[in-house]
Amino acid sequence: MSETKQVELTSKDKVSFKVDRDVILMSGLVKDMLEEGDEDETPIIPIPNVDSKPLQKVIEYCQYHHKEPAQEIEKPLKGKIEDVICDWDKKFLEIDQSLLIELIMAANYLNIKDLLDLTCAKVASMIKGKSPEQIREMFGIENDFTPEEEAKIREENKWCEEA
Amino acid sequence: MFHSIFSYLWWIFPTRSENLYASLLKNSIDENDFKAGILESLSLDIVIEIISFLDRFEFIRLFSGVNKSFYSLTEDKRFWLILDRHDEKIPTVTQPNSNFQPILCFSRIEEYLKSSEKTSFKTIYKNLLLSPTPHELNPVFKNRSAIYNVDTDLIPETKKYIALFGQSNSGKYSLGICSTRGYSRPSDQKSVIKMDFFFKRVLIKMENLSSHHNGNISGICHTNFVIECFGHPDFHLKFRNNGMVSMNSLSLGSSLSIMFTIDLSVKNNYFLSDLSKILNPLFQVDISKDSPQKIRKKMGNNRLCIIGTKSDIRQLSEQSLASQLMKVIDTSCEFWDQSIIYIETSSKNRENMDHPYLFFSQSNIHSQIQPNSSL
Repeated sequence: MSETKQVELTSKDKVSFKVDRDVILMSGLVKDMLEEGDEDETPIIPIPNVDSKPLQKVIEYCQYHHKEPAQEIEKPLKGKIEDVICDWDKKFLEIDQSLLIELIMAANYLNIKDLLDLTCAKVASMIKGKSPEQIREMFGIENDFTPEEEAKIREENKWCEEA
Repeated sequence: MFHSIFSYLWWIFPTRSENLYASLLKNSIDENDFKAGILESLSLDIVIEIISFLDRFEFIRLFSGVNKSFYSLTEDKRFWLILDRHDEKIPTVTQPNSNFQPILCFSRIEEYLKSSEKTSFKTIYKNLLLSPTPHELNPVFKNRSAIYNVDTDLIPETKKYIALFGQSNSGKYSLGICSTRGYSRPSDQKSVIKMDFFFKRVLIKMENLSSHHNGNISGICHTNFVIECFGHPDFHLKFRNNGMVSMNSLSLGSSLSIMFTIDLSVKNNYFLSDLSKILNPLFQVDISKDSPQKIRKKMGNNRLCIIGTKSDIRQLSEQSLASQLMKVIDTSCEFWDQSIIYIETSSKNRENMDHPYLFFSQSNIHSQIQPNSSL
């Protein structure tokens, strides 16, 4: 029986992950790099922009979805993201906020569109239904409006509140 | 960074003109000044991706009040284009059995406008975007694209704003230009109609028109100029002091089209008989001599829309150029692709339509539209 070809990914914090080549081909970046290399070796690919924790999550995602292609998430989201994704993805997204942000950046860097969509949709879903105050609190955003400016904007946006 | 955003936009809108995005980016947000807490670590193109999962109401509601950076996002033209991307999913008339759903039903908006004198345009817009379902559509336009106008007289608070909605075969909304009721052209000054991009493609700011208001619509030819401009920020039309439409400030390339709408039910409609006088200087089209193929080619993206009843059409056929014209008219479902479009309506529907088109004095159109090389 022939052995599955593997690829070694090295994270920013120097942790190595051996991954099946077929799995990691979901990454556009890795795919491009592999196309340039020698197929007979187990290539070592440095991923200097991604720490081990998010990289591990990325691999986890690819391991599942390279066989179970992700469904497209409709834009705009009609409700909560949990209503439109599979159970595996729901469980996958049970992570803290900082890891979610890191995962978005990793998906973007590694060019994994489905994962980027999933994670961005998750953030959008977190934002939906929140007030500006709650959004500030959620993401640690400083309010730089004066009370007068804030009142003016609230007045401007009254029409939206009814939508 | 800007390059990557540009690439991103290019990916989303591969068919749009490069110039459009170049001009959009001139007004883009400086990423270094973007204050977004934890989200600051994300590049602006990822923020765009996140926003693309929101609808435009959520976008405004959620983002404008967060802080100045987020507020500036709501003012950024690029984000409106992202949001407009959703619109592209609306089925088009050229798709068989599609559940065509234009964003506006004329009878609905008119009813809405009349229902409240204090209605602000923002609210109207909001309601329009909550699309009417097909059964609410005026039967005239059911399953067909159409052009709609809103008379600004019905919008007391915002007399300077007008709107027009339509849909092209590509699923993009058309943007139109119309005047206030009974608008007689400015006599002594230029009036600039400029798109107001707060609501992007559906609002036009009209300046200097209030003093040229004669309140009389009867007998006015229903001719309409519709521009499909796809959100071009630099777009504006100038109405010169004789009512002539000048297109020389446009740089819209192939995405521009002008639609002339002729309503055959309007009495004393002598517009049609002089059609060549309109089409010839603008498009070098001679309706009485050119073949349908040639007419289509010459008109490019521009269209002539004729609306009328069967009776109107019978009268039309009595006119000398009618037979030639009718060869050009194609009533197939792909009529938006045709240079000359005919929308058939019944008399009853005509009555219901009231004055859906508003426009310019017929005589002005005849004498004052002039050729322009930029077309």
